[in-house]
Amino acid sequence: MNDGERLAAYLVGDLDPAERRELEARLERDPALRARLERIRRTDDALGSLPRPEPRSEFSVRLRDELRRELAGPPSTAPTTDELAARRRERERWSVPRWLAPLGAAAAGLALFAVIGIGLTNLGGDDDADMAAMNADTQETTLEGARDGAAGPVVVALGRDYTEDDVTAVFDHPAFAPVVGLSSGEAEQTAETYGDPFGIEGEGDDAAAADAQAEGDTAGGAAEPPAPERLAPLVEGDATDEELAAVQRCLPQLYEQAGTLVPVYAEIAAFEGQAAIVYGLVAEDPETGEFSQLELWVVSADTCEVLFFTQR
Amino acid sequence: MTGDVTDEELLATYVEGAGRRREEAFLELVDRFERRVYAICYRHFGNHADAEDATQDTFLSIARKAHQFAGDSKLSTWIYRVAVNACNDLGRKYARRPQTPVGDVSRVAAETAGGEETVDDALAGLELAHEIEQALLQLDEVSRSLIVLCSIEGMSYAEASEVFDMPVGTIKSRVFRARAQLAELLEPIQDLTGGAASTERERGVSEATDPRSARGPP
Repeated sequence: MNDGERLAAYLVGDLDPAERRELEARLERDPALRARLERIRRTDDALGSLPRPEPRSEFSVRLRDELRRELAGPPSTAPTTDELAARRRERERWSVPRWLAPLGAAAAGLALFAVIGIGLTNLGGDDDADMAAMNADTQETTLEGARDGAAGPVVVALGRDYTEDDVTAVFDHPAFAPVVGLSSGEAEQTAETYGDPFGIEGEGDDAAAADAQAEGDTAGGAAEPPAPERLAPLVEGDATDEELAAVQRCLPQLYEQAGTLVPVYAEIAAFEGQAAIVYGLVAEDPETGEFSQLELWVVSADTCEVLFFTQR
Repeated sequence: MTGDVTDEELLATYVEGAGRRREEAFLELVDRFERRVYAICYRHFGNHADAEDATQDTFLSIARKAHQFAGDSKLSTWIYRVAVNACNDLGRKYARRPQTPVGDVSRVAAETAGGEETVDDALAGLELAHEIEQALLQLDEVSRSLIVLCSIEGMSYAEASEVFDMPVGTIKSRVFRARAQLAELLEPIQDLTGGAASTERERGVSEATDPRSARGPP
């Protein structure tokens, strides 16, 4: 317990007698400590006398209208309005051509994929053949300063259970390195190819259909739009289709209000005992314009609720 | 009409009921908890717009996850937990948006003025409230939530322990630390409770960096 905590505890009578006597003796001879005690006391008083902020009446009306609409529907797992808006924004943000030709991307100097083990859904042998070609091509077209090891998005499923204290070890995974230091333009292109296998869909030329789909989800009526062509990320360990689907489902929300992000890492894991997905993203450093900001997001695998966030 | 019905009974009616009865039960819960949830959310963000978003998310989450309420704590505890999570989730999302300037006192006054105090008293109170709101924003999100729930809303350590799923000892220690930290952040404001005016007021916490200017939560 530091002095600040001790003083705060003292004010609410939470020190044992010996600690209290010791602190009081120090307070008697230390004016700075007394001043600090007084500041905490005043802060406590001020907190206790803060007026309670009241919701604006128009909000209260709007809230109930919104809830009535929600309650009128079937008991649902439908996305919230916030989620729907996020999906729309997501599609707008990713209004880029679908991922089409890996070799074209390679020529543009992008980091490339490697395929090991199983892939996400919608994969065929042809993709694997493409990937082999890409990997061969990588030798000649890697970025200046490209790191050792395979470039490309990675999905890990090794049954690990993280806590806040050790999950940051994920930052050390080699999947981040090839993306760090990219310029904005390079990152935009990389984001397309990295995002797609994680389930961030390029929307091709049919934005209206995508929006209609987002709206249709609430009614549960519309069919899924055709899945975009996807490439497999490198997968370490065994993941079920359901887990891989969760990786795709929970990622889009992390893009909300963001500029370009490159998703490089997804781990199907547990976080403090709860089924979770750990995402590693690389974002632009607003100071330098370089992609050097690493973000770690831990979300619930069941609800996609954000459980933990940190950046480096 | 529903005055004698407990919160938990209302939730059960909502989960098991149908039609109008179900809706009425849920809206009664909203009536009971809206102000407190809103206050928690407002303290978390320091502005009405974000507090409204977080409050709406809280009640939508409650509507959707009501069946998950296990009944091993008071419903109010569970609702506060949902509210804290909603604030944290939104805070993380909002951390990504472009920097919004910290509002000046006149804006806060315009937003929250009312009541029957004199203009001077109202402004002084609003200014102090604003300083505290800005200082709160500089705390990490758990510390901020703990201050809001325990020091402002008067929640017991035991209940906070359930909300945050942390041992009571950890909660106490974090509340003590957060109060001390907040006091240091407010150090330039010497007249928190009407004491001597500070000569350093100009460099008060309102000029501190808005934590949301960075990407990601602080």
